[in-house]
Amino acid sequence: MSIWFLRHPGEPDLALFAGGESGPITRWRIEAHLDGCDRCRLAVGEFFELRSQVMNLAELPHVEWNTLAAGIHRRAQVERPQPWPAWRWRPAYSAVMAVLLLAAAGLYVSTQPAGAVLDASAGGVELRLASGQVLTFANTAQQQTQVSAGAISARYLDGETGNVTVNRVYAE
Amino acid sequence: MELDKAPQPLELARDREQEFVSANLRRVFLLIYRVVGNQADAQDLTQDAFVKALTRRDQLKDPQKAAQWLGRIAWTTAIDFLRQRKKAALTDLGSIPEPSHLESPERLALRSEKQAYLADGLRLLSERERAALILRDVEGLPAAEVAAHIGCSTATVRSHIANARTKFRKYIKGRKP
Repeated sequence: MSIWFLRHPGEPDLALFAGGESGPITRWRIEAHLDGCDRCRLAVGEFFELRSQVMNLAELPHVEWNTLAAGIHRRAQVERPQPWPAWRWRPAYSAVMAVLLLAAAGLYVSTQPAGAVLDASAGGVELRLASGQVLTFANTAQQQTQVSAGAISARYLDGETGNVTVNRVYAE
Repeated sequence: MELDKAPQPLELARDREQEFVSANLRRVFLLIYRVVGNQADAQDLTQDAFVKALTRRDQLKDPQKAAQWLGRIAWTTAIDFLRQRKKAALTDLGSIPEPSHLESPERLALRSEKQAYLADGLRLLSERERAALILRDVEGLPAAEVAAHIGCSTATVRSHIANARTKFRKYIKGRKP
């Protein structure tokens, strides 16, 4: 055996050797050293023994695993970030948005300067502003139109369904 | 056990979550329990770790590595707790396993004594050495996986494991009559 093998490996190297974490060269060197060194063989044996003792730390106190798991699921449900509203709620959101848009349009019209012109035709009710902007309530099949100062009322009949739509538009 | 990050039908997602929790619950609890050393805290922190993982699954880059990712969350949860509480105490006699009705009082006493003895030894280790030792020697994970759990290199993990075993060996030799 060369002198190189006579040098004792460090304790950390023996600790890793006992756990099988040494690299191939270190392992080969330690194996060769252990053949002739009782002291290091004893140390490796103690590290093996230590590993088997540490296994006892796997023993856990009594835990209600099902209760613990249920608590996790309950908290995860509550704390999970809410996704975009489900599809079934989308029509309601759309309706609310439409109402808000109409309200905004009404507010816009009501704040326009005097001089707005209201007109009804077979295509719908038009509000022509002095600034040149035109706001149209599109509709078809006009049946009857009533015009008064600053307001217009138009009735539309849907030929297919028989539904009657009344558009009343006021300009102030 | 993987954890899908893509949106799934609600019931399927719930089933996958339950499988994920069941497959990893004991391991996560063991790691946290042995790091913080207290059963009540360990149960709370285990819940915290899983809830973090389940509510932040969009941050999971590789679903194949969900267990490692969860282990990392568990580890940081436990360490943050210890830092906040400035408490590094490990299992004390008051939180040693509760008695089972099937064991004799003598055997129970022996087991409790052994657990307390080992838990005392763990106190000598740093938090990282403790986690590395538990994951490697108790859970049997390879060093590379331990590294992924505690967020350091494999070489550093090997160093932690070697230090932990060396300290523990000295402790055991010192306690022998």
